[in-house]
Amino acid sequence: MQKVKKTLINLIFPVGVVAVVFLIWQIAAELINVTLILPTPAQALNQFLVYIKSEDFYINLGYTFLRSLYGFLLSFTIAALLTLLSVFSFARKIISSIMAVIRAIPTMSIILILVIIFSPDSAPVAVALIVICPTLYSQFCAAIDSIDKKLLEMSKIYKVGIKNKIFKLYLPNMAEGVLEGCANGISLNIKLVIAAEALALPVKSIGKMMWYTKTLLEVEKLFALTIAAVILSVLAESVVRLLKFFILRWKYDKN
Amino acid sequence: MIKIEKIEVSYQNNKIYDNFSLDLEDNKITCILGPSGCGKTTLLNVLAGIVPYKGNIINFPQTVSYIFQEERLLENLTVMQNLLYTAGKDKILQAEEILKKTEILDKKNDYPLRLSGGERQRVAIARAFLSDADVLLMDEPFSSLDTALKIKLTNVFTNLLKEGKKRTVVFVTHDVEEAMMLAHRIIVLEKGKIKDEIVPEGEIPRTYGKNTSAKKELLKVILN
Repeated sequence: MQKVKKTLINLIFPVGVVAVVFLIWQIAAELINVTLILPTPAQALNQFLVYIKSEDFYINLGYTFLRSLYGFLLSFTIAALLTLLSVFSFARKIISSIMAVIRAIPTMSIILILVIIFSPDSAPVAVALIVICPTLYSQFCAAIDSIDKKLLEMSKIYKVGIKNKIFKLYLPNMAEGVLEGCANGISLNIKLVIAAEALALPVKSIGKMMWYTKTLLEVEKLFALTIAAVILSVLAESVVRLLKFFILRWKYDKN
Repeated sequence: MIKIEKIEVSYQNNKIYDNFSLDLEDNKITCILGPSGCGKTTLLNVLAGIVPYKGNIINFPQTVSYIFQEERLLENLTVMQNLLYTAGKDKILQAEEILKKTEILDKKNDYPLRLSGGERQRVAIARAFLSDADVLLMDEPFSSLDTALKIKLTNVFTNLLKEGKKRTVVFVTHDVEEAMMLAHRIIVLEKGKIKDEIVPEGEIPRTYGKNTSAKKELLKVILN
């Protein structure tokens, strides 16, 4: 009964928050009363329903998703490799300093610079890589640092082999930090890719669709595409969180 | 006999042991008794090889097993998996045998989060006894348990010790009753130096709380 209650509360809150957001949006739209500036939720949702019946929409969404996935996987791989290197303290100091500099660069500067350097298709991926990689790296390093030193000591005293230490101590105990970083990172990644697409204008992309609607002042379409981007982002994050729940089910196995 | 000869141990510019020597009798339980901060755990960690020192430790084996004050179980592994993590995956039968003796076989597929404090400490004891190490180190392993559980686990421990292979045990505590229950020999430590040595009479485990001449002598030493 308690579990059912908890699940309901966990569902009701986000739904409630979304409902409040829509209500505020509706009130604001009615007060402004100019569709070109702020369409109503109903207008945006109607346009969204038109989109989801369109094959072209799914093709554009698919390309955006693939760019996001590719960029994220590249970021993950590079961040993981850099984290491995960071086992050596001198390497960690150098890598951390580089990452700190990259993090300090304004995101829009990164997007504008990379859009000039790379092709329209590659620029969004490059943007995701440059922005997400430092975030994931920090998260991965924190995950390694969070491993209980007493467990490492115990493993050393009992002379546990390196393979066992990696697969039974390091990876499971890092999983929470790593997956949490991924959940946050993948959502941010999608937003960055779309932002870069809106400037780089690759042929098939949600970003380019947004740019067109903005140019033609089709604001309800822009809002509809924003809803689509939010749904994509939430779905991607949810998948990672579900994966986290399955991998870490030993943590929830208290009863 | 294991000989600790003139060791020097420092930590953050503080000298914890200076020219410290101690002999540890084979196959006996030596208890190091002293107040918090007197260096008991440091001595154990020197023997475990995780704290650097100067000096010599002679006849000390390559491997030890260790029962920690906090159990140090891997929460992501079941009870059985925790045992096999340190002992190796070819020791399943021996692990089951040990879990049976520590009366926790029915929990072998449970995760540590589902276990009580006493059950977790049983797993830690089982892990230590599953190891083939000739030396067993114990750092106040029963300190967080209530008296009844303490006595029960002490009995479990001594049964395992008597039934299994011979081991030299070095056991650290600040609890006089624990020392009196388990030790063949009690070394009273103060500020990194041996204050006195007491040899209680009788077979272990001795009765908890029993007033003996050895206990009175020990209390006199501690209170001076």
